[in-house]
Amino acid sequence: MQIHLKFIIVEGAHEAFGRTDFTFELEGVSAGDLVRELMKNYGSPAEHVFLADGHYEENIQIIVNWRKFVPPERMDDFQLQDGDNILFTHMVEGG
Amino acid sequence: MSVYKNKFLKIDLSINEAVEVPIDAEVIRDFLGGRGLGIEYLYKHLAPNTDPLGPDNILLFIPGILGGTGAPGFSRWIVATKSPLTGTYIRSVCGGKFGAALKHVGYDFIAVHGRADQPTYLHLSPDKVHFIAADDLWGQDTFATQDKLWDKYGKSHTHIACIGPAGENLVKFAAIIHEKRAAARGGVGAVMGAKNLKAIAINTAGCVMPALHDREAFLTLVREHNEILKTHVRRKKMTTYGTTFMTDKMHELGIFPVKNFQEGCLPGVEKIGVEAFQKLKTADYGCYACSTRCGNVFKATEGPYKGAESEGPEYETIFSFGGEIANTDAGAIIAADALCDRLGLDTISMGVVAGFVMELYEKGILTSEDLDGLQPEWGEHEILFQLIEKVVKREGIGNILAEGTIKAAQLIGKGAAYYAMTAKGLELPGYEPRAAKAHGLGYAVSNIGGSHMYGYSRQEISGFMQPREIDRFADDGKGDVVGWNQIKKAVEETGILCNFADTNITQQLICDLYTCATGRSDLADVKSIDTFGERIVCLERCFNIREGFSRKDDTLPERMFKEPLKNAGPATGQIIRKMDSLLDEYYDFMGYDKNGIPTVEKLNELGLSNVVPDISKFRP
Repeated sequence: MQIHLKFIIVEGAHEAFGRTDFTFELEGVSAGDLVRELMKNYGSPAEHVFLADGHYEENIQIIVNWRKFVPPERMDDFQLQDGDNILFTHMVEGG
Repeated sequence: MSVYKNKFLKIDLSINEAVEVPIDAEVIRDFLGGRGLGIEYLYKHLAPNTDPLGPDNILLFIPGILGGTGAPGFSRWIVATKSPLTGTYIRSVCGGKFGAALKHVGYDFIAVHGRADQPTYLHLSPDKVHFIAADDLWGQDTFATQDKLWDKYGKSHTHIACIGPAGENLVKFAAIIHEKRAAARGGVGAVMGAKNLKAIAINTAGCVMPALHDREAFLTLVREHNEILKTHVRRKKMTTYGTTFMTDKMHELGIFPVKNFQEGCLPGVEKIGVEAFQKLKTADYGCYACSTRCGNVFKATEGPYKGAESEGPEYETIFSFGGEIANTDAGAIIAADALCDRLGLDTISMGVVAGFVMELYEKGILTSEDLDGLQPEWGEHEILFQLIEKVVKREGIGNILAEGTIKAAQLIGKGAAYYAMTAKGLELPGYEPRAAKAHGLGYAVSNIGGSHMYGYSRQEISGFMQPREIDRFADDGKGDVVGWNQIKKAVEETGILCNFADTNITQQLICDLYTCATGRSDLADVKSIDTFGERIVCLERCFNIREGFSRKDDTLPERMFKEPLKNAGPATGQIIRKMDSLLDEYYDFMGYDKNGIPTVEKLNELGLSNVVPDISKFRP
């Protein structure tokens, strides 16, 4: 299925993927699959984006369709749908 | 031994008297510190219906329990008073080093009463308070004022809070400035100006750090925390970007208000986004003992504002001088931010006032004639500077706008009130209520009016999962979360903890730090400490009830109920549909009745039985 991806202030994303706003053909079904496939397809630079000490960098948050936050511990349970929009950004806030 | 000083400094400007007053042990027991001590004092000593700009209003300067201890992130300080902008209780929070100085000089807070018969500033050092004529400072901007005082007393040990021309001229949204930071909201600077108080300068030479009950354990906690912060991703992001990243994120989510909350899309927003501001960054700045150093210094490098430099702007100012007026010139935002700091003005309120004027002009309610010849089209940032000058000098239309959006709308008439983007008269910050409805409810029920910092709904912004997950577009189901956020925030503001520097600071760490600092066993438990927050929020509400506020005031601008949000990406079409349900949920969670008044049972439960008779007459 096709998933639209966007990265905002995620370090290394542009270097890893060559852009920060693109469509990705996902073979798996979950948010966890998406991250794993991105790392598989884009290699070490993508791993640097998503991993810290071998685990998913919990400060990078996943927002599905601008509405649903997917915490790292639920990534593998969260099913994506064809046409979903995924925003990767940092778990920072303030004003 | 404890971190408490167990005393405050009572200043009476009418008679040039300064007295050290012991704080009752029961007050510290029940209200903990910081914001808690503030509302306890104001409720007890400020009579209902006091003129906020009269001599009887009280102006409090309050550090937190952990102020000056070196606990990272706890350097904030509060100004609390009755707001001339809203008529409610207000607490305005600021960073820098003044909070630590207040604690180091020996007080749990300073209470300023009365009115000086001539412009005055206070010079405080341990055991000494001087009342000094401020004739040579009156009329000076805040930077010049601080420079003059530093020239006189030395910079390294002198920490200053002062007002600029906006406060002197009683602009209802005037700020109090410390270094280049602001206690901005609610017109606290106007209260200071009305008291003829230009500045408070604290000399901390010879002062010692606050005592700690268990110093070794406290310092171990601080060391361990600092070690985590060194490599923490969130901390590093805050240091690098400050809050400028919020513009990109909020715009993407449709939460960034544009054109006075008419819509949510700003063409060219990338020109005021995080990458644009990074190119203009020249330095960063940290508050007392804070390793986060989220204060960014930006300098405009080209265009009409080339050379303008400001510490900030933060996200809120990028919203208020950017999206709110449809401006995408980062240099203009930097220059306007610097000007407001210099003149002593709240940038959120000033920007929303400017957006209000632009929309009234767009709608034909105000004409160029009404506006002293100005033609405030959207995006015309030059107009912003003219409006700022007019407001601060109270010239022409500026004299009306200086009253704040709500009062200005009343004076203008012709339906202008519909376009006033405030809650309880406090101009709204940069989170569109229709796109983030817990934020919207938070504005409505906040006891200081339209503030995002009275209980920041991070569940909508960063997916924070406590106390539970919420859907920002859902029409209801948010009252408990908003109440929970308010209570947690009130606990943090006894400290006083900064939202930007709270990386990895858990509720348990707060409890542990408090316990080590104070020796109080009742602060060890996360659940029990929430009672202090609940008590503080409840008493703040009772303060407002006594002033005549009720459910009718817990609301949002009419636009939020009538106009589906336009052009806001994923949030397009959102509207507030169930305000009454949201209020009921919130009141139910907080133990308030249908009118938003705390029940007798709740007051008794919180140990506020003394308040019961005061507010009983306000029950229908």
